[in-house]
Amino acid sequence: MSAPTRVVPDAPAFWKEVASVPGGEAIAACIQCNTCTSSCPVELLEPAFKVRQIVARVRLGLREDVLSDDAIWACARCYACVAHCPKQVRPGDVIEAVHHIALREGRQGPGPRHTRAFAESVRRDGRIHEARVTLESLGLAGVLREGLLPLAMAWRGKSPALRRRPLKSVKEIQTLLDAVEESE
Amino acid sequence: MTGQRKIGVFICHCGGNISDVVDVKAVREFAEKEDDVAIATDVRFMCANEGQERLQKEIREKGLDGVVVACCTPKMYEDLFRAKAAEAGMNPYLLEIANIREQCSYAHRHEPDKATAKAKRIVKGQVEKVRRLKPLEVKTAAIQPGVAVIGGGIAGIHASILLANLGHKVTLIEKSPTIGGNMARSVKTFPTDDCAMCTLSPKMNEVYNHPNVELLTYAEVKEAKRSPGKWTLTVEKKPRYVTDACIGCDRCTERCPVSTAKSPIQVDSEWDQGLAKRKAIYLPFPQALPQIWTIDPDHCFYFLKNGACRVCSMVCPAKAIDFAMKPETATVEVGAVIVATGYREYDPTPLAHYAYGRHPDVVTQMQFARMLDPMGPTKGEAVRRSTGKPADTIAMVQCVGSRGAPGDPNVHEYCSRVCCMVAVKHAQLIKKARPETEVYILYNDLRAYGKGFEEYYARSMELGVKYIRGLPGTVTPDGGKVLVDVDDMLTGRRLRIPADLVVLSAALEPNPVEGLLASLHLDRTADGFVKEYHAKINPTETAVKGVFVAGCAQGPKDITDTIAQAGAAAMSAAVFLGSGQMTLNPLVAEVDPALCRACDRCTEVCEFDAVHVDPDSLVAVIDETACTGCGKCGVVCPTGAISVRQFTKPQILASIDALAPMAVVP
Amino acid sequence: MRYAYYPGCVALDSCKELDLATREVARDLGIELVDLPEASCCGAGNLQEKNPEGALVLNARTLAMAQEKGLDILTVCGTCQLFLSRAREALEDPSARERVNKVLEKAGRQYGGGVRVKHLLQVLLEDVGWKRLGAHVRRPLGDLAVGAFYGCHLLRAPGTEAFENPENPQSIERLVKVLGGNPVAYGGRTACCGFHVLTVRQDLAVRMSAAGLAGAKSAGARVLATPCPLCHLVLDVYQKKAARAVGERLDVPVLHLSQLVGLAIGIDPERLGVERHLVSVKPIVQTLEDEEVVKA
Repeated sequence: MSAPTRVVPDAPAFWKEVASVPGGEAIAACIQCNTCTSSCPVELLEPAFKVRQIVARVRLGLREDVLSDDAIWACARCYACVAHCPKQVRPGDVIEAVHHIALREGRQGPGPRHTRAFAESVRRDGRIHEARVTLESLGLAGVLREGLLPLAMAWRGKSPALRRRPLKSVKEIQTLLDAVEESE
Repeated sequence: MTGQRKIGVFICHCGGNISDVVDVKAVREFAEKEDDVAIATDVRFMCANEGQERLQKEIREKGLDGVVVACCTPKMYEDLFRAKAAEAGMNPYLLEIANIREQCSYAHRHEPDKATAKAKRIVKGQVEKVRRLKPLEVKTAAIQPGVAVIGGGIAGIHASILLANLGHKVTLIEKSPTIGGNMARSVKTFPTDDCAMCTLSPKMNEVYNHPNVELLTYAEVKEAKRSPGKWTLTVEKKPRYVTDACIGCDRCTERCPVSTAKSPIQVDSEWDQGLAKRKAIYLPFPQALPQIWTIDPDHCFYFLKNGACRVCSMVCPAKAIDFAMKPETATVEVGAVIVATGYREYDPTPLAHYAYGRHPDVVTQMQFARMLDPMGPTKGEAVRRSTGKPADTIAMVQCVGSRGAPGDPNVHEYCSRVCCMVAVKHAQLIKKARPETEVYILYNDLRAYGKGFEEYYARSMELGVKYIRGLPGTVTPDGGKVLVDVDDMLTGRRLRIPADLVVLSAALEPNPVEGLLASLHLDRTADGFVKEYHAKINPTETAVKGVFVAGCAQGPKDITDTIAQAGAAAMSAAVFLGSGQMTLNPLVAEVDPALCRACDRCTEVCEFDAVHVDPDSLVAVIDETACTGCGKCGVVCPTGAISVRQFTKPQILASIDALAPMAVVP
Repeated sequence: MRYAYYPGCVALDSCKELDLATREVARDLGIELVDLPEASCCGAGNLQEKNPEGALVLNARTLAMAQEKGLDILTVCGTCQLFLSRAREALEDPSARERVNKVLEKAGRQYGGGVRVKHLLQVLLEDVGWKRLGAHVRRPLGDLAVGAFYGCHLLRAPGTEAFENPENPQSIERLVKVLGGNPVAYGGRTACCGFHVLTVRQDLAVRMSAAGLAGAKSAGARVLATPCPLCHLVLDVYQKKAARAVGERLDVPVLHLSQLVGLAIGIDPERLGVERHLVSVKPIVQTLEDEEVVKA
């Protein structure tokens, strides 16, 4: 996994930036013991996603290296790492803090796209409009790649609803979300 | 020889440990029939009251003049049985142990018949030996009172204080002009971040002012000679050329022309590890003790130019300068010696890929410590030596000169133990003083083993110290930076750190005191440090009676462990000096003057200086206070004049004859 | 037993059968489910990433809604259980509550702390109890070999430790026994299904769930039971893709916990929505019906 060229740490304070996002608070406690990665079901199938390594890269200040890496979105949010970390670093939550920074900066890719679609659905309807979120996350090409599965689901009546069903009190939810953004 | 002795043989069952395997009754019957055996009996537990009472009863009633106790290893109860025998009126050295447990029943659990046969042989062997034993006297010898502590660092200081408090006369001998050693320049101590000088100085003053301590500074032990119960040290005191009229006003230093901008003579300050200069007349550091200046004649215009410069003498208000001073020799006679000669820092120059010596911004941790000292050459700031500007990026490299390949003459194989914590200490001091500095520690393993160390390391990470797991491939000066290239195992990236300062955590080496150690008959372990008596169970005594070791002279360690060990060494020395008398083990070498030819072969092989040929009588004489009974002399003696008591040739051969052949005895 | 019912989003959409089955079972067991029709999505981790404080506020609103009704919350989804109970734990801190309540004011709501969030499995274990549940079992499962698929989030939820050992959970196995089934333990029962990377990295999700399904199958399980509709979605809807990814036939029907309980209670399978599943539950229903015939 080494890059072909030498990397100079571009953002030595990146670890502090992550530590200031909810979830990233304990990043400085990590002793790189590798329990997290050893517990990770994703890493078993995708060696490019090593939580420990991502934490190390954040702490060393390799900001662009981390934020531009697609692999950081492979986390399945199972929180096994959080449960097992001996120093209570909460590595899975650190990954989420990194995601937050990436989203804040407008980073692109399938990972950010899904999260944005999900959050927008909550704002728009107060709840998840499964069909729309799936479509927006996968994109048309992704939906086509699903092949006959949507038909199989439709046959069984299992398709998610195509119609929007926003909560009646969705304005209230939007007011609250706006209030939060103001104070940020 | 037969028919002249009355030997008792006592065979222990050891509660089954022996008797479950060896047929003790058969062994008893066998022993009864041996020549000179007056009584043979078996007992369930020789070590318990029943056994000892039986032993004493038989000695008294039968007037035994020899005893074999067939039981466990002599290391367990030989002393006890001998003491009991002595109480009952028999010379204790007429008692021998026949080990039929560890060397018989334990070793041959599944072959009882063979074990029994072997036990019989072992007993017979010891009976044969006992028949040839003579009673021995335990003598005592006077031990010279007084302790010499060689080395005035924290180890030597601490040991001296303890011994002086106990009432012993201590002579503390230090090679440099002041006591204090390496701790004095450590700035802070981990993990407490105490000011090193603040914790050291009270002890320095305590030892300096102690009525029981004679302090010899700027003095070196040239020779150590051993005689019964005494060490005689020849100490050479170098002349300071400044008398103790010195009032410490510093005027001489101000006026001394050496090391000024125009001076042709420039001297690096040893104290400042070469980061600054000193004058020819100097006090190593402000809290130095004694507070007497010293003139370095090798760099002084007075000495080099035939009296040309006398400025210091002219401005000295106390008239303390005395260019006519001569070296003095002092003779120190003591009973015990503590070696506390400490360590020095490894010079990383041979490790060319680290560029030490090729660029001023590559320094060692000891040099860096001088930078961090608020009273030091850079007033506590980490600066680039090349520009004088503060260093924004600092890279520390661990294990420099340590953990090397065995047999590589340029590096040490051992781990220097404290450098991980020194790096963490320096890193977090910098981060606290100047948080915008980026500090990287490039390490192999991070050894934070002591009390409070792991927490200290965790705090360093909270401060933003960055840890890279991997040692650099190259350190390359380039333009205004020093580029450190390292493959980091943690991020999986090949990094390039453009550093302003590179700090090498160099190894701890023993000080070059080979001559001193040789004259004290001390060995060194493969790593070059003083060899302790036993690495685990006795790390403060040495194989040489009366010589002890403390601190980094024995191996790298931090101040906590140094003080602990110095205390242990002081205690061991105190116990040794004890009542002023040492009890001599009689099982040492002995000379038959009739056979001795004064050929000197024994004196050549003796490692302990324990045998000398007396020039008048032309007979070898054993110093029983020094002899360890190793027997080397006996091996080389062509006439058999020297032998070790109770291990004479006839005694040993008789035992061997009895043990072999291992025929099965019905 | 009255609970504020929080089905989450998927249980009302593509996994509607879970909501159906839950209501059926609750009615039979005497658990009154009080709807919170205006409760928002729990955030599922996605909203938390995008807008941590916003997600906390919305979940505080849900908790406040339950509190207004004087009720604790019952969930039927592992992810809802995790994020609601995380919010609940965070809001036990008075300064956090104060901060969030300042925002909730704008919606005319306040949360005073203390509302409990429990998953149906926990309610069955603690409130109903095995004895009472056993008394409702009119159609014991006839030693049907059932494998549990717990799903990560239920095991990670704070408060979960109080009722279950996250490394070696036993509650579903015991439930199966009470229902007359034969619980089959297997390696992947606490594994991750990969739902939360389903859209981003489907390749990983199908392989992760395939491991669990294959493990259950080779241990002899005929059906899986899961307390989370998100796991159900991956294990059922994507089972064919999972089989293809690992080159093995799977054909392991997956039931929601409510459906399993419903079958054992004797509720008509159609009312439990089992015909909506992509991997047919028919063989299981058939087996149970045959049992009945044999009994009769």
